[in-house]
Amino acid sequence: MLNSITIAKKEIKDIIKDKVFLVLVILFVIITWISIFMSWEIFKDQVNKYMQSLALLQSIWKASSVSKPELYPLDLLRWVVNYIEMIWAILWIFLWYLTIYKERVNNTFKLFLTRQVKEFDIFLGKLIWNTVIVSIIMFVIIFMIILFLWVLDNAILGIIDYIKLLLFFVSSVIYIMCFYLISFTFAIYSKNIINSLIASFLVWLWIVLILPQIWDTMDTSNQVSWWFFKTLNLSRSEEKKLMQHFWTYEFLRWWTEQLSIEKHYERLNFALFWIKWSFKGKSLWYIISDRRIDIYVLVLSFIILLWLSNYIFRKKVLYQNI
Amino acid sequence: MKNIYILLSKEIKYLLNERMFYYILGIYLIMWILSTFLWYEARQMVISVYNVAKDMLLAHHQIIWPLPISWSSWLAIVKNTIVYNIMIWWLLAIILWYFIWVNDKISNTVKLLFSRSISKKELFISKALSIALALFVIIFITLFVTVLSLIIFKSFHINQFWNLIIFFIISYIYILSFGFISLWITFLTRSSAFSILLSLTIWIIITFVLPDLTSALYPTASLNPVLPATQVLSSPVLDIIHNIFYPFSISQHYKELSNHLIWLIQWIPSSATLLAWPSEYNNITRYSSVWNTMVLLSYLIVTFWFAYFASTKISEIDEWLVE
Repeated sequence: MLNSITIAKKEIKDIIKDKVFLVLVILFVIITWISIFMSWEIFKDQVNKYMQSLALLQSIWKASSVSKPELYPLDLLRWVVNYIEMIWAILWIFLWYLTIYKERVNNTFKLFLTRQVKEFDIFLGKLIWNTVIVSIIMFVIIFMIILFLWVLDNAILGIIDYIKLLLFFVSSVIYIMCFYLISFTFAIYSKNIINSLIASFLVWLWIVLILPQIWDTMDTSNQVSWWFFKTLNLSRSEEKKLMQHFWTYEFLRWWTEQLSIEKHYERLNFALFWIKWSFKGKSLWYIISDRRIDIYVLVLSFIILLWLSNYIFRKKVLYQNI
Repeated sequence: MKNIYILLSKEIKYLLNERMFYYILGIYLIMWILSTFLWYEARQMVISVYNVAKDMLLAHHQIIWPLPISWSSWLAIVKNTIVYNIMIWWLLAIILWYFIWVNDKISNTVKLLFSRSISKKELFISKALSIALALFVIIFITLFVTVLSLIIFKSFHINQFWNLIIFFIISYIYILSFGFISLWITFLTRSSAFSILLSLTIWIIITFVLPDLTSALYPTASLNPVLPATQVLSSPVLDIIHNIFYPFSISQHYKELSNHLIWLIQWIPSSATLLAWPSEYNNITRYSSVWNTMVLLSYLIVTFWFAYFASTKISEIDEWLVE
């Protein structure tokens, strides 16, 4: 355990000294700020339009049937969630690739193995340093979120909001670590570092782009330019009755989407932040129990990948094949 | 010219012997075939659902509207290519270029070349041509597969063929620009880590941040081949930001132009007023297709010039990679 912590400390010191890490943090802070600012401006615009419509209606002695848009601060974080699920995952793959590349060039791995260091210590050391770095960056982002929300709207978050941000923090770390473990597995498995990078990229492509797109492409409503069933003048209940004839197709479509951990991560956080309208006003406990499948999938994916990467790493070390 | 030819031959031979090139080509073609197949299946599904719905409506003596997809563009089969070009090709162009150049640096090929009578200009031209040719081959094969798919799915109409060709030319220009960006960066930087990170940062800015600023588009909107209607233009602050940044939002210009070429936003039948026509067909596009094309061409020229300028700055005697 001590060896793992020593290895982790060394890696953390190296990455913090590296310009690359600093550039990453700055990039994410800027992107976070831009996204929250844009969400905030759009919300302000909605409020202005509402007030103008209300004034017009009142001038002709009519009441508004639409309620005033309400700001829920964490609702502004849709962009941040999207950026983490799409961009941060690929950035982490590249960052990890570069670390492995340096180690291969400098033969650091082989040097470790000549010492009294168990392979599990090396594996755990790398896991710890990645988790710490991801956590630091996530912590900085969440701190910036709280700061921006306070600056823009004097928004003071409650205890429940902080718990939601904590859950967002944990789910984001797990999500990014899944991609780290995927890259680690490929990097260890393949002697050619370039092939491992392409393989990791393929997995990212599959999870983040292809699977969600398959789901969208197979959606009948996306094949025409408006809701398909609205063009046929069918109500929601008639739509459901009709689609029962095509249960297999819908089942396949639904299952395709479940295979993507990106979708589970997105759904969980959209529900937590009330971004999805059906969860607006719902309690935290309701959201967690409703979205428990997403939590299970994220945690299970992480555990499976952890076991797989450790197994492959030990096999490779055993056969001196790194 | 002779030196350029020799260098170019060496680059092409290296590429053809490199498995990575075939992996990249394979990835793209598999994704393309998969998306075409899914599109076809989804269309068949819509027709089946419509037929069942027609029976239901007839049984209740209700009005039956025409089949919704009867007025959609035949070239809609290629709409996912727009997303692939924006999301994937930049990355493949960067990886392809990165490994060609970095391998040259590590193996000291660059120093060896400069010890001969080879100028920086010749080296640059050979590198630029090699990446242009590699991407051209991939685009050409994709075009061939597309035409084949259109014929197999009975979606091919000769009057749309030129639209398809122009669409692929525009896509090639867009992708090639990313190739020149990665060329520029690898000439500029001595650290491989920094060069990849900088390329990625530029991609993130072009693909996500600029559309976010100019049209308040979510990152997941980049997975949508059609630009949704923007909300920013009704807000004075956002309208100003939109006016400043939109000319530089290359991915949006590419999407707009592609949508026009494959008729994703032109096919509006006369009955559109009866149905509440979708907001995505009411795109507020600030620029005509001519302007979109001019912006893309300017982007290509600017990135080419940057790459050329960076190549003149490389050191002939001290060109080694920092790791």
